[in-house]
Amino acid sequence: MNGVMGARAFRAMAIAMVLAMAAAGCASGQSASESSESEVASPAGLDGSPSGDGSDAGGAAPGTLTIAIDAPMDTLDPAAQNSTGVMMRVMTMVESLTWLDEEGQLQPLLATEWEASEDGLTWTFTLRDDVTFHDGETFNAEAVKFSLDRLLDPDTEAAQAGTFSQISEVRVVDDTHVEIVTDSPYPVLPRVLSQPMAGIISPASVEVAPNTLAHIEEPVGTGPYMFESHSADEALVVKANRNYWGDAPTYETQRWEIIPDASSRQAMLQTGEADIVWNPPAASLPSLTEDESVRLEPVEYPGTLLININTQSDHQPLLQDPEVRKALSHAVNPDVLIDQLLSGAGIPAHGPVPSSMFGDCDEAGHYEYDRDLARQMLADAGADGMEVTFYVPQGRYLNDFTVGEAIAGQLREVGLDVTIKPPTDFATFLGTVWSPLGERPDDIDLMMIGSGAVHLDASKAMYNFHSESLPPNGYNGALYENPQLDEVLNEADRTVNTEERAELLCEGQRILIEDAPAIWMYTPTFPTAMSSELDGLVSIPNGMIFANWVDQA
Amino acid sequence: MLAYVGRRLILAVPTVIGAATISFLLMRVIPGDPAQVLAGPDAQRADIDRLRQQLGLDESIIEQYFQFMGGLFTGDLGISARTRDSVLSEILARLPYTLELAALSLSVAVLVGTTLGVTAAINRNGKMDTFASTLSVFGVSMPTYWSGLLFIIFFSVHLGWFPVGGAETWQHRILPTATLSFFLVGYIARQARSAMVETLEMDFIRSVRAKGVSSWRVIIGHGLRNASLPIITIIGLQFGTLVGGAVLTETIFAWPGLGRLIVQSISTRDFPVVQASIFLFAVALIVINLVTDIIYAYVDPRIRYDR
Repeated sequence: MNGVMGARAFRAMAIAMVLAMAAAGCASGQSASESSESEVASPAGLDGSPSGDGSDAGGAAPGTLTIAIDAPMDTLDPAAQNSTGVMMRVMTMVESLTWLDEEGQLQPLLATEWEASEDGLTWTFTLRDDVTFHDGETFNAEAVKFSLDRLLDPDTEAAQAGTFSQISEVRVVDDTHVEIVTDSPYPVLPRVLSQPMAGIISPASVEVAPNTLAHIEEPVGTGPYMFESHSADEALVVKANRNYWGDAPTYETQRWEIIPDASSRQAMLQTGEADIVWNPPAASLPSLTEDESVRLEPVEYPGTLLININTQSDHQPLLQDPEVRKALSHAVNPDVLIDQLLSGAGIPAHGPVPSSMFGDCDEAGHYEYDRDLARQMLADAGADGMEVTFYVPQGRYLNDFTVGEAIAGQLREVGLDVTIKPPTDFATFLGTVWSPLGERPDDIDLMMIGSGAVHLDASKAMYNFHSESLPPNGYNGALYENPQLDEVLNEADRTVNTEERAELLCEGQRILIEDAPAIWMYTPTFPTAMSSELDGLVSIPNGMIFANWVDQA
Repeated sequence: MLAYVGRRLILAVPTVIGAATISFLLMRVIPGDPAQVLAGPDAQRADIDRLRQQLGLDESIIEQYFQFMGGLFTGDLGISARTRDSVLSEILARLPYTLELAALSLSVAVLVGTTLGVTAAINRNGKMDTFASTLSVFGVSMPTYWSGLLFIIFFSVHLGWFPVGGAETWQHRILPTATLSFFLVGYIARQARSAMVETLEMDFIRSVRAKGVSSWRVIIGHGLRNASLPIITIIGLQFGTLVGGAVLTETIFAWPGLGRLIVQSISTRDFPVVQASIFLFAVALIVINLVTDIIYAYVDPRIRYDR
């Protein structure tokens, strides 16, 4: 029938097919960025997103802004919020009394000013009088009391109500004045109120299905956008609030689509299906930076990636010596980690507190990378060649395990004998390192973890070294117990005067740098990629972005 | 036959109870605390304790077990620890998408695979055969993660024919279906081919062929009947896999299916969702297996179960 020649020809074709596929796969990095310059036909049948072009010349509102993000919308209930990626979406609809700006500074929002009483126990907030909720109800002190009471109610499904537990009472003075009373002086109150858990919702809205007092599915707030629809794992759609009290939102609709795979998100930017893409693949950062049709906005994680050193280790008693710990700080080089492993997505740390946080103090000093000094100090302390076991998480922070391996390499270069524990998933890692002291494995000499504070306050960042935070009560992975530090932090948390407080927080940082219970490495950043024709994305240094005022560049 | 079916259904009960129990225990044996995950990375001890209480995790394990099992039999699958919505609503929101993708992929795979396989057999050792066999090998060996991304690069980014992610329009179905059925096409083509080859080698074929071209219809008819049993087996087996195991395809194409829900729920230690999902899978698989066996007996009268 068909000769051997025919069969051979087809075998050749088959091999060609394999090579073509392989070539396409390898070249995808290159061609993907090139294609973004050529005209790509927009797939038919989509929601007609104008992708930043072809929208308006005459000032009419542009249509739909599509944002591709990986984190699913776990909950729309402001009180139940626990992660910044979800919070920022709720915050397009629900506002709080205060907010943090792009420098991490505290700003008024629904409250215009606030003041603490002499004894620091009563805060009086003055509220705006020109705000209406999405359902037409008036924003006033009653609504503030209702929302905060709801947050503090133990039946409400709140995940992080602890930060607000200091509030003992919320009092309505009149329509535009509310008093918040705390158990003891609580200087961070205005700051923690900036979080969406303390967001103000319309009291009437909990009576409207599908909302109930305990569980809100369609939040009704005062924000620039209003809830339109939500389908799990698909998209959250919000529409512009044309009665918004502040700067009018630009796009008529924001569509937050859940796209779990980073490569798929990047592809959507190229096809025009998405206008803004959250966290594209790190490996694409170099090509995206070169690409002129793409604008990259870095977003900062609200904290630092650090290595806790077990200051009470019996497994490796040499770690109890602060000089040994300081030596380890000199041995780690965060710059090379950021450059080589994170494609530049990181800001080197200078201590326990990043610059975005209130109370950050440069004068506290920090450790320069100096391998020779490290070796010298280790030798002097009789610690050269010491054995340590290193616990590293995987899949939680960008290239976390690879970074851990690189750090182990840097420590080995100063003579240490480092054993890295095999990686586990993050929930297992957390369960292991935060288990109570009796059950905790006794070889956790070094452990890598990220630590911070969404409300950007130095006290919280340092609180992980307070003795109250020893596991399982908290996250004191260094098992650090220093009454001096405890006292400084306790006092800072009682001092309402901002200058005095900043001074105390600085003292706390000095103590931590001096004692070196941890190696503070860097603040991870991650990019948001968008078309370079768009501008106006707001990025807060606690890991959140706001696209409410994005417009043509 | 009825007695057979009845017996199978009765035996299904302990199997399902066993599957549910194992999934209950497994989730509690692996390290990780749902309350801790839910409270978030910087939460306080008080928050974690309160959540444990709200999630019912502070009760004894026996209590929790009986609550779970009792709930299953009354249709109360519990509340998701992650979203605080009912587990049933979480699953039902994804189920139609998963079933749709599974049905589409299976149909495409059966049609394309059978055609390829039969053609390959008729054209044995010829061009068509080599082509079909090569395609089968590709399909069976290429990981969905890779083929999916390649489809995106070719058809979405370069050609702009189909969208990348989501499930809004009919165009959104093309690439995920192609990716998911790619493997099955290979598998089914091979089965169809060998069944067809077997038919072609039978004695009666020689006499049928002697009668002329129209006899081809009869031959292919025979071949298909021969192939139908293994193909029905594949459909039965693969349907279950597709329903729960399409997570890679669902992730790449942002298809809101059950696979993603389950993987997410395991990472976040969302016990109620994982337990309920495994229970439902066990039930679904038992039903699918039973239906497959009944169809066998219908298709091939030589098969008898009542002994």
